[in-house]
Amino acid sequence: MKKKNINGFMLTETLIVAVFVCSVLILLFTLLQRVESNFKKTFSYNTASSLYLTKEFKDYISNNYLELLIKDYVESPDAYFDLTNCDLKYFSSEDYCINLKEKLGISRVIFLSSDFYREKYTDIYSSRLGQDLIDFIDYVNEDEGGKRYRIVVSFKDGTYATLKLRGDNLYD
Amino acid sequence: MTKMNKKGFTVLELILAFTLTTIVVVYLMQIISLVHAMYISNNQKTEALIKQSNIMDQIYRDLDEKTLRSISTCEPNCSTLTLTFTTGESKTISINNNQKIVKYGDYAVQYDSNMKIENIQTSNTTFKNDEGEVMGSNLYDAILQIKIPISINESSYDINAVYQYNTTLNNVTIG
Repeated sequence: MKKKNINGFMLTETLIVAVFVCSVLILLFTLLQRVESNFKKTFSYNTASSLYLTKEFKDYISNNYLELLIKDYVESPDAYFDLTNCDLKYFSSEDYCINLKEKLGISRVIFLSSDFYREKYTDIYSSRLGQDLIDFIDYVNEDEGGKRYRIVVSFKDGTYATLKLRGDNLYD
Repeated sequence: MTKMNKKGFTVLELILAFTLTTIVVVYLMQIISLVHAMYISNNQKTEALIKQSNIMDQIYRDLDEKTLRSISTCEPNCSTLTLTFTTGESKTISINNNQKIVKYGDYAVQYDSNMKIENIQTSNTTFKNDEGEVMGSNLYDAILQIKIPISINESSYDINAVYQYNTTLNNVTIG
């Protein structure tokens, strides 16, 4: 009768080791993806340069028809206003506005309030605003209580910035 | 008769172990290489962003606190630009492309040798209608832009200062 070879590894042992090693490698890759994603946020969200440029546009909005803009926004069913096209209702000169946007390198300007977060509009408007912009708005996650108005600006170089325009002392 | 040594591994076990080890090492080397590349790239980006923000902070601090009176001529671009304020103070923005130094007044930053720094570009646009009335916002009717294009590997770290002013209250002259 042939003697069984009792040395060596069972198939089960080999499989267990292989699965363990693969799990560790997959975990490492996942962690690296997260690190890469956090780096991307650091380099493109609210950088000093984009904040200075956003402030210039904020000053411009504040010197135009801001009261009318807030009044219309409060009375409107819309969750946000897209100011990218320089609506003459809120800006005294379309030419100036477009020129300013061009010099600041702005690709999109959104006006919204803290309600945007409370009502979970980020889920509803991801297709209209684009997932990258929604990710940034989510990242800001304004929900301090009371009403806050903000402009959210996306730039042509892929950076994003946001600044508050007004607190909750108007049209509540 | 010699007794057979039953200790040790079979050839098949050795081949299997060697193959598994090779696969693991190859993947680990890829991860290490990726992490190293990420470290170098992100280190470069961080430095570039810090320098960009520092210079812009210096420029905007002056533009916000003081009133700009004039800038020197810079057509179509220049390596030196002087800003003169109504306080009488002047500050110069200068580019030294050989040493990759950007200087504003007494403050200077030196970029990495592989950064691409172009000359200073300026543009001054006023907006008035035919009657010479202010067309911009209630306060602003002109936009001055001072831009220094800086880039590396298709990533841009431009120094871009935009100054809005009213030509009636404070006109900015060039020259």
